[in-house]
Amino acid sequence: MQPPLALIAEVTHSCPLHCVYCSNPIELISRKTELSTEAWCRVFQEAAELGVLQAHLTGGEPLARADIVQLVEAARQAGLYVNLITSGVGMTDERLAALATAGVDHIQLSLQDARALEADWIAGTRAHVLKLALAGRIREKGIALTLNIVVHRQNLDRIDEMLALAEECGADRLEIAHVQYYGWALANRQHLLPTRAQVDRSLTAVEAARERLIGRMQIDCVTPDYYARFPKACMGGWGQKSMLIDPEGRALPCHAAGVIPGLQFDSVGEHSLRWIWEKSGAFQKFRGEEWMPEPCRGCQRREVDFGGCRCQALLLAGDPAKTDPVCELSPDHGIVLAALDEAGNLAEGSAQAAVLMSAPMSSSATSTVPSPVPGPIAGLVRPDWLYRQNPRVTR
Amino acid sequence: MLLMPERALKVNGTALRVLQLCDGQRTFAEILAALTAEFPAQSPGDMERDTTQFLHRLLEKRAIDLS
Repeated sequence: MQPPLALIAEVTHSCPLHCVYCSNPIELISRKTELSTEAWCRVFQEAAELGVLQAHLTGGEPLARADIVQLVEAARQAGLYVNLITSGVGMTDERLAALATAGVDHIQLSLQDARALEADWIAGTRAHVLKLALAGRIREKGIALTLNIVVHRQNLDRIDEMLALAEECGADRLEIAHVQYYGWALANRQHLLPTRAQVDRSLTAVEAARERLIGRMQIDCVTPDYYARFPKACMGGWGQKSMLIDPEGRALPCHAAGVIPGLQFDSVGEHSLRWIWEKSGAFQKFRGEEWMPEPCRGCQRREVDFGGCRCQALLLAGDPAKTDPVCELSPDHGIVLAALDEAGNLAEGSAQAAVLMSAPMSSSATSTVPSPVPGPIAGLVRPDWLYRQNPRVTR
Repeated sequence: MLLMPERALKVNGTALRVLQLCDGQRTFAEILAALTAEFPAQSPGDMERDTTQFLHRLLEKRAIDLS
């Protein structure tokens, strides 16, 4: 059996940001049950022995761990290519220097928008200006930098500003990452799902930037799930390319797999990574083609997209063993079409609302803002956003 | 194996040698001269074309920097 290419180390769920589309589970893991430094070091060692090549340290916010430099060092010394996925909050000059010395190969820095006010609303905290300053500091250290800008209905129209900002930051790579509708994003989907017109315009802008910036900045951007004809090859296939370890040491085939009922996730405290990869029931459940229903089973694309995303099949169609409803061949595709229809209708409504609003702007980014406001952030300041909560900190 | 975020590129043969020669010191001409000497079976013209294409692909992936 081929070993996984990547280990996704979700070292904590704690995060200073509270993005309305946070991909962490709705039920977050508390800090007190997080894996110890020693346990993570052993995980990296076992991963390298299994044949893993890359470690992606993520969260939550990995910098929220006091031992992040030690973790990077351990992963690097195990022989793994180390990618730190961060919001940048908590990155002092000292820490960045220590991470560079520890051998971090690449940093992925997230941005929530091209503009500070809007970005900070989405993140539920003030972080945008700090992130921009950090991008420059990362480049000064000679560490490869990817900017990841998360896009959705509320900011996709600023795609040109985002492309210009990434160029200004001197990023090697830019990921224009559409929100994927799991967890908090699914809860907030009605305000996040873009319209088809927005998506089409953005793809045209990205294509033009790609040609202009060739050799200077690589841009990754794909048609968002709900607007594609076929589903994405989620995680490169279930149990094929990646293994995720959550903050308390459970091994999952993907970050959202916890929503699927009946799966038992084995822990790195009880089993080796090799045992988990080869024997854990959760990893075998949707590996290969045995589980596939029609139309996947007889479909030529089954080796291309593996039937799409199991979590999405569960969340939208109620059964993780169904074809991903994003697929136009899925008998449940109507669910996606209905959501798109709603997005199109809402677009007209909110454009009108932006003109009519007159309430004063609130100064705090909480979910209790009384009413929307005029101006550039009219679409953002709404009473019904669901923001993620940090796990309760117990000392 | 050339590792990038979310990518891993398996390189061997001449391609591996090209990457080993990209040490931040050698110029393109020097890299080419070394390759031509090491792989006499390939004509210098073909070597220049193949090496240029390969390095362009890596540049587009932002796997290498020009300095």
